[in-house]
Amino acid sequence: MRRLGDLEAEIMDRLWTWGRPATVREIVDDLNRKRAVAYTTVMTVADILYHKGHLRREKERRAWVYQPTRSREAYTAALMHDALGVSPDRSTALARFVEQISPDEQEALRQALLAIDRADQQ
Amino acid sequence: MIAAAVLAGYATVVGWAAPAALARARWAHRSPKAALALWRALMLSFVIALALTAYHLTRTGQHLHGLLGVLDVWLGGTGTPATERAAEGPGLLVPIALAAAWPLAWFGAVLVRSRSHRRRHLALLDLAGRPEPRLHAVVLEHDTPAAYCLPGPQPRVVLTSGTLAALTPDQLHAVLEHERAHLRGRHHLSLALTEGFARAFPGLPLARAARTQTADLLEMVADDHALRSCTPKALAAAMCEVAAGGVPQTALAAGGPTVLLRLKRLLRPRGGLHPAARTALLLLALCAPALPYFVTCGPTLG
Repeated sequence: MRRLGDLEAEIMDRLWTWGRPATVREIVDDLNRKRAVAYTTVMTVADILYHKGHLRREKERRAWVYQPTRSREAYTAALMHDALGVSPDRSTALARFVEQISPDEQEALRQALLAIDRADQQ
Repeated sequence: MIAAAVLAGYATVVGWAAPAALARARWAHRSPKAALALWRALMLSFVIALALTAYHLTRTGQHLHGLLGVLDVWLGGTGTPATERAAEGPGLLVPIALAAAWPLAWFGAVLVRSRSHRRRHLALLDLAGRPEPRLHAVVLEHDTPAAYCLPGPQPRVVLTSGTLAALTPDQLHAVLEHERAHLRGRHHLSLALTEGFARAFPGLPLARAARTQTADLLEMVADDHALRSCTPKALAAAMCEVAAGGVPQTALAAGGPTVLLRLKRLLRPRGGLHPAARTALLLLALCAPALPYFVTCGPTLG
């Protein structure tokens, strides 16, 4: 059973990839190449995305056409800022693999690793 | 009054002197789990000592139990009626519960805040990220190497495409195992606990030290977990690649970044602590919170 969230992501993915406004019909047709999805389901989820502010829509002739309000890069940038940036409650919300470090320390790290590599080869 | 003074002294030692000593302890990095237990024990001891101090301040008259009572008898004190020498009853739990409610309320507040933060993050992540079922991870299209995990009912390990490009398969495996260890161990709860404690007692050295030390020690626990299925070299190299790829965006913590401590540990392993030493530390962690009770409220033996 696929979750509604998966369909949300699939719709956004298509619209970002196409880079142009599209109707629900076009999205459904493309989704149906892989699996059967009902027109009304996609219509409902597109409506949800619109109300969440992720899509905007306009009437073109007699059909609604949808397009993302922001680019995928904008979303990614926001996520990266949240994950890496300074935020009072970030520390308890996300666990980062390593913190970013200064260029001097980066150099020291590389030297330390090189030394180990050399020791291994001898 | 004597009991209150003794307890306040104990709270002072636990809240001010002990944290500095434990933060400097070199064995902590060899057995991060034992060190974590000790930090939690110190926090609990502090709360209990505080509660009992307040309790004793509100009691009037001669009132000596526990070890203090024993001392009193030895010194020939006769002012305390025998009925006052028995161990304190369960009524003692009331002040302890009251004192614990304050940091626990902060813990709850931190949990709620970070959960809503994670939920917002997850909603965007699931829209913009690309699921990578083979890695059990979500990939973000971004050149900066970064890896993090998002705990919760629908946990996620997140990598950037920059991370995928920079790492070898061995190194990638090490990163993924490290992040999964955080998720499996529910480390976010430990972090929220120390964060809540720090907000409940701002400025208290124990609170400050417990927060930073817990974060560092949890990273080491996750490293140790990853080392079960990867080499120290792979993990160390992965750390270098991910840490070196980005631009520092946060002010560095005092004492240098944790990644340097972790690397030192990986590259110059000194082995775990002797089991006897670990047992002794765990016993200490169990006894520290009970000590204030036995000194001032326990049964007066002899």
